[in-house]
Amino acid sequence: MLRIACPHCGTRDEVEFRCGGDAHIERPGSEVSDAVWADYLFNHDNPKGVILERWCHVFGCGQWFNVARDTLTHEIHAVYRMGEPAPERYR
Amino acid sequence: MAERIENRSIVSLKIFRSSLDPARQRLQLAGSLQASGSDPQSLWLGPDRWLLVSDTMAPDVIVDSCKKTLVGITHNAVDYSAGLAVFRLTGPAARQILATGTGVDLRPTKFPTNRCCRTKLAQVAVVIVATAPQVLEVYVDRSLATYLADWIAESSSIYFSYLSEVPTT
Repeated sequence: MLRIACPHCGTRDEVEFRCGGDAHIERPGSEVSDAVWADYLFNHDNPKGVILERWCHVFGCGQWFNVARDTLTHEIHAVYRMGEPAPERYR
Repeated sequence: MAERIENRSIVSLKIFRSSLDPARQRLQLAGSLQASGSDPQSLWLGPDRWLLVSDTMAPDVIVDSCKKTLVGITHNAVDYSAGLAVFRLTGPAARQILATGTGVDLRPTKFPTNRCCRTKLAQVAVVIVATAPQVLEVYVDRSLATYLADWIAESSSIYFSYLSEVPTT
């Protein structure tokens, strides 16, 4: 059970949240090639280490926020609000 | 002791993000994780959403009052009285019994009077409000009212039978 610090509600159990996948993905414009579009849809980094992802506090405030989580240890290194840039060291 | 509160007026209020500050001020809405005011009492659910509740004001009166006060502010105020069931748990065991179903710290020092939070209780979404040191109110989706009532009854009986089994010598 992870303990996650929602920026609005404070630290809560993992079961109150839903993971929304990678953060900071920019949707390309409509005029890109199939290769670029396929890359956007299907190809993501899968690091053994810190990943930046989006979480939604579905059983709480309902807000989305970003998390820097280590995929090996599950340690959460940083939590920052939606729309904010990632902390420097995790960019 | 647990009882079902009937006929409470409940209005769901959502405010357009860019107008949060003026809206909060005009309506004196509760701050983060708080319940405040009365007639109606406002319950903070998130940065842009509240429940406005009252046992005396009719829901349409609350909705109209929001409309008048929030002139010029994009918002959504809807009568939600039919959507939620409300339970009140009182007594020294109330917090302990609820604590068996949620990860939120319900001890009086961590969840004092006028603390309000939306969380998961017995696997379902609820709003828990402390209205007094030994009084907790729980809002749940109306369709889950029977389920939660059963859970509260069963958890209470387990809790009290556990207490009676604890050796006293």
